[in-house]
Amino acid sequence: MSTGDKKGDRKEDRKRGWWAQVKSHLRLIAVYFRFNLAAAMEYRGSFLLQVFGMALNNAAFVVFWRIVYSKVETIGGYGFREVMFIWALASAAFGFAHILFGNLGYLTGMILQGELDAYLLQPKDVCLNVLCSRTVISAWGDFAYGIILFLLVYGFVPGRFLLFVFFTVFSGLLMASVFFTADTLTFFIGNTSALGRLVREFLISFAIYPEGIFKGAVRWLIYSLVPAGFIVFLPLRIFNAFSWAWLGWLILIDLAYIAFAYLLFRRGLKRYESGNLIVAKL
Amino acid sequence: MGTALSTPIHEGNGRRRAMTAIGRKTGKYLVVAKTGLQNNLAYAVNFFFDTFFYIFFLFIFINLWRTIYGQGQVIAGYSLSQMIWYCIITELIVVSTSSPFHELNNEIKSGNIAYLLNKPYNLLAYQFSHSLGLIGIKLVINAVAGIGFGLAFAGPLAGFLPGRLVFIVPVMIGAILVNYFALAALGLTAFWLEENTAFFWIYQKLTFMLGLFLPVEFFPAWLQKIALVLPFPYTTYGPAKLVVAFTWEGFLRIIIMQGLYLTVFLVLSALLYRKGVRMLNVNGG
Repeated sequence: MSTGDKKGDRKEDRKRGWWAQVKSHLRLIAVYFRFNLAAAMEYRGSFLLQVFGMALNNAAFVVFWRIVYSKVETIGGYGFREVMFIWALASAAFGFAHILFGNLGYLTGMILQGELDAYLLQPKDVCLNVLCSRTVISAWGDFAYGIILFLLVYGFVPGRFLLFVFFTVFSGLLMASVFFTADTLTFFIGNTSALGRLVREFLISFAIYPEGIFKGAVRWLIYSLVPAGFIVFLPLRIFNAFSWAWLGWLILIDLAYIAFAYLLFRRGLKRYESGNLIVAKL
Repeated sequence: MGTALSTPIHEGNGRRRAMTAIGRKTGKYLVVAKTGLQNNLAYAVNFFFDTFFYIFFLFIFINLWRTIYGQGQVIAGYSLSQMIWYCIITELIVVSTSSPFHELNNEIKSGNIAYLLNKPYNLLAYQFSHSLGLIGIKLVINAVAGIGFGLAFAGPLAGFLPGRLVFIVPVMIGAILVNYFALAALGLTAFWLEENTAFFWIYQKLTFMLGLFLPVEFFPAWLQKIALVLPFPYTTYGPAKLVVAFTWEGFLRIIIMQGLYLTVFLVLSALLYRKGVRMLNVNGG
């Protein structure tokens, strides 16, 4: 396709309005998803080993909680089923985020190395294009583990399962936007790989233990800078006692984090300096 | 008579030569260990970052166990203070150890090993010596941080006698060695397998489950019996148990099992390395 054709497409997209843009980018995500999956399946044995290995890896923690709950009935107000819910949701959301947006965690290096040049030349949104162009194979194991764990603990009740899938998507997007924000800060303050690791460890660690064990300042933290509260704890409350109002608030909060991450990236991109790096992006 | 006077001259010279050769070899690896230590000291900030995560995990676990022990009961024979100090020791060992798995894996898969084979050292011994400096410095920094954190948040451990450290420290070193050579053996499977990371995950999780997070006494009786014959509890549970509830019987059992598993993993690593190098086929340059 020539550059002229691409410019024409972009003009056409603008004419068709924001919905056309959304559809076009959803198509982009779908194409990347298919392409990345096909690439991963090229080495089927390795793919399956990584997926099952990660699922087994996560499953080990069920044993830990089973043994702990054989000694006590509740921990911070959570029973075994509640802990399994937050584990299932955290795993599925993490898997969802890293299957679709595999460049999370790599962005800092890409910015520092000047590897965004190739994306800047393409007629799609840079943010989505960068994030989606890679997948993390082991994330399939996290995703599968989350879904299977939920079904094993709560059974298949269509309405409740749909709600869990809905939470998986929104919590995954929220998780991705938090990791992405930490990476994006590289545009402003230089190498943030340490900060990125810190945010990841904090977010995942806070999301897999009962909310009741965190007190004082940590409770503020899990509902602000490291929003594990909105990723697993609030969804659990809605799941146990459904409320449209709370669901609405959750969606609004998730969208606010996502919008912030996106706008920060757009702002940061203006500060990006090309690395004059010659790379082939196929 | 076994005295030096009765030893034939040529035999004495041979022994001296052998001793000098051993001394040279040991000296070589000591230099490698020193270089490793110097290299790592140049990036000391990295250690403080790891120490920060160590303290963060301790913070989470202290919160978890405080909530679990809300009513001040004893669980599986452990008081809250013992449980917190148990976690401090097990986490200390895990965060201070160095995993040769990824290093060996990368060297073999990238083909870089071809450039290392003609060097005048044994690769396994080199890797281990190089890691010694790293392990030593991590252990010291993390121990200071962990013990300080434990004293501040859990108070001193009742009944702990500092004199017993003479027996506990060798067990901690034994735990690190067993873990190191078990991971080295797993890393060396890269000679045969394209993707062996799943082995690492499984080993890591078995270590986590059978000692790192929970003492073996928390398991049902049948699982305790199985766990205690496996190597995993001797990499974390063993030393931590001796810190919180020292017994001579426990000490002997743990040190014997560590010796046994260390021998097994050392021999296994050496065999895998020798066999792997013989069938190595590296293309390109």
